[in-house]
Amino acid sequence: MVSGFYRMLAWLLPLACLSLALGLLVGSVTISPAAAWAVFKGQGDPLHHTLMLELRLPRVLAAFAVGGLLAIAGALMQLLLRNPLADPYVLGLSGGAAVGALLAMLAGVGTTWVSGSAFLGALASTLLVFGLARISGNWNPLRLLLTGIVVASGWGAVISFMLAVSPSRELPGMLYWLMGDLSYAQGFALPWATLLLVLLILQPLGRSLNVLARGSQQAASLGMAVVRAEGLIYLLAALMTAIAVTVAGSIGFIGLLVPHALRLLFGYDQRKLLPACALAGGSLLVLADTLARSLLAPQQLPVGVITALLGVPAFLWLLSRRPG
Amino acid sequence: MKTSPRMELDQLVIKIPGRKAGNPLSLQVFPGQTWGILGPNGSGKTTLLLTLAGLKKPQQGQIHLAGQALESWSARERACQLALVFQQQEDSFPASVLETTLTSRHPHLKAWQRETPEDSLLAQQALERMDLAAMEERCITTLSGGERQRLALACLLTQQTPLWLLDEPTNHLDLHHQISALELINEKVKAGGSAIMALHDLNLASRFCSHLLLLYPDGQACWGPKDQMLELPALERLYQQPLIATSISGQKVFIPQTSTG
Repeated sequence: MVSGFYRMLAWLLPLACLSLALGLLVGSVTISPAAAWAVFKGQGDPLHHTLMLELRLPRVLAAFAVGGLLAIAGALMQLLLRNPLADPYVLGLSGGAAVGALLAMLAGVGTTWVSGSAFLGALASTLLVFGLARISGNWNPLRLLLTGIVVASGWGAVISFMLAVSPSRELPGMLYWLMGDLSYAQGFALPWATLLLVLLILQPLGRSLNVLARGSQQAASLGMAVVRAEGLIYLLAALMTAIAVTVAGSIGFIGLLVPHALRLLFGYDQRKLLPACALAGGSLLVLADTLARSLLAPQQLPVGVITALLGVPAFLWLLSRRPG
Repeated sequence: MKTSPRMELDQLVIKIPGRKAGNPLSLQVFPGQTWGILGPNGSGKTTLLLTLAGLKKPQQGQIHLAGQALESWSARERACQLALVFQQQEDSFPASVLETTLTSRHPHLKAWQRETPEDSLLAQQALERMDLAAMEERCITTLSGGERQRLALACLLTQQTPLWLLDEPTNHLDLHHQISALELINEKVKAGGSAIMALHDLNLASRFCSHLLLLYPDGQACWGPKDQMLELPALERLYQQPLIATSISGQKVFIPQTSTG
């Protein structure tokens, strides 16, 4: 196995279990481990049963998968743009999703439609950026990045416009969605299936991803089909981000911070990094969501507020210790 | 038995934007030869090397690698035959020195295969050879220019190909490492390898190359064994620079003339 793989697992698997347990037990009503054990055995308080298994479990599972997806998508975007400070939204995907979601909310349709519309918006934005970046022949990371930034600011303008003309009773829901909020999360099957599928596809390709990290020219001289590999990475990252955004809105900083911190802790080998992203990203989002549910309970905060409040200082700290 | 050329250029014209097509190049590089490419800035040295490596299409003509048309090689098989050291190391993504070196085993492994202990050993030996053994775990973004260049040479060693293409291999290197890099190339060629490298230092070219290719800025070119090519008027015309030629212990030495004498 890749050196250090088990050390990574030894750290991150317990973290994942701990975060899932906390997510189930802590909230507006805190459940003791003993009471939780009783629920699992089929005895226990019916209220606890409802809280843990019907309300918290789906949400915790959705949070874990979304966190994992965002962290892996971030790691892939950083690799694709060869920039350790890129994040899954850098190419404007969250803006497209937000415009889709807000349109659906303005139309006053149900949450399923909001999710579907967000997904379509994300895909449209992905194809738009990809198409624009390739339109004049060769694409390269810089052109892709610039195209993404311009398209993202375009979406930003559209979002501001929509917020400005929306009736005020719609605004809180919209703002929560924009900040990233797991209380909308419906179903964890799709994000989990995507997460596992992506790990399954990428794990055997990990060595090729390491080659790609050396730059497109170098990778080509080592016999890689660079354009094809970059296209695959872009589409996978976009798909993962689109699904994450669809489930939970645009939650910031997970996709930026988690891969960055994991590289410092466990090294740069993508075969180690991507599974580590799944575990750590998932754990972090579950913990953040637990905080969001319990800090001002019974009121719930959008989880994006928590990730940003934790993420900004952590990111500045990482940035300040970067050499050079 | 006559050895066959490792690389053959047949009426090759490279693509240089904004210049009319230059002289077609027709030459053969055999095992045991070190070819130096000399020429002023912008004369096409890098473009030629990229073309020979299969990363750029030629404007006209053919390149044969080990007797087979270059474009008929799959990228992966080609990377088992020739390795290229770029003039500039790309602004790469953070990775450790050892991990970076190991990626050079890529063409020898199947897409899903993991590196074997032998691959790691090759990488470690190459790092040792380039005086980088103590830096295995360092992140490449923290290396100095010269260390990055030595890492590129270690990667070249690890790739284990019979033909080496090098774009200014002495770039950023201190005097000692310049010589040890060129001695490394010499050793490789003596063991039956071939090297084609762009160089700016006439004296290093005169000591370490067996053949030279002179690329003039207007697209003219001439080539041949080193001794026929190192002629003062040709070199002065090449660089548009008056030179003084002398000889130290039988070795030709060229010194640029300056306006202050």
